[in-house]
Amino acid sequence: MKEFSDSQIFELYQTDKEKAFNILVRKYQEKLYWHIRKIVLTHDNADDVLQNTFMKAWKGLKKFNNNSMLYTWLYRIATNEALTFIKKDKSRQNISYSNTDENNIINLLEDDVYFEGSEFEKKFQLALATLPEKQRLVFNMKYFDEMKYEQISDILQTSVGGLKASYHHAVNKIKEFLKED
Amino acid sequence: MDEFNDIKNKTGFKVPDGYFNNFADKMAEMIKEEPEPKVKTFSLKPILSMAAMFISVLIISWTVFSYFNKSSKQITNSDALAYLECNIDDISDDLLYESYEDDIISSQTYTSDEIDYLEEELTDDEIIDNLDF
Repeated sequence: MKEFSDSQIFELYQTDKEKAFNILVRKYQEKLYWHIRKIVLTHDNADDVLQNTFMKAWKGLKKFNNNSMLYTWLYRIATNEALTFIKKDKSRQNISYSNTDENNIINLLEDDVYFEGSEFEKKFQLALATLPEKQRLVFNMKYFDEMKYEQISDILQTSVGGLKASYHHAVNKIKEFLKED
Repeated sequence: MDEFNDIKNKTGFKVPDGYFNNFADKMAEMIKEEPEPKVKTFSLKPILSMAAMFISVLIISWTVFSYFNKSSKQITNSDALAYLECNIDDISDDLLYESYEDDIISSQTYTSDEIDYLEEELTDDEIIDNLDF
């Protein structure tokens, strides 16, 4: 399938909104899904958040400024939706994704039929869950998604220097966590 | 720590088969149920209503103010007479005459024929009787 540029999608949106939106979903769904999944951990939650993200995008596309990066805009929506979901879920189920209660994270991963990670991968997710929210986001985007600091800076609205520091702290904390038995 | 570098490509997370093929179709269905996004248009209606209300308040305030202002400053004839009675000694004859001059002139509008008649036919006493004041 032909890959459309953001400006082509936006141009098409002016004449055929639904078609343009369908192309936009197909272009970004995988990237956004994995970004969300690493935050909310389970497939069902990631699916819900991804739907919310695209619905927000659909409603906001008309007001979207073509001068902004569509990719950055969508990532920002996805990140906000994922974090909002976690906060709501935490208060609803009293589950924490970012504290040291390892059992909660392990239960969450083991209950998800779409997690087939090894013990090390499980421990890695535990290590990530111990990080503060911002460090976890930066680590995911830099390490897994291989984004440039400038891109992350646009999405999280944080200075590049601050992001580098966050990433550095995150890597050290994860390494320390993995060293523990 | 080699595993640390390997994990980048294998997180253990999976998705149902065909998930990404179906997701876009699912979203297409969802947006059909959702009304088409509308941008809030700028409407003059509330601004015009506010302006009309403001102008109405201004007009009412001005009318009420003018009424009270006028009534408080308006001097009635009885007020003027009362003032004159009390202060008649302080007012010079010239000033008194000037004040009444217009009334005297306007109330005594005679044509030239009438004036000739008055001068020729009437005595001084009769002329004085003819004067209104």
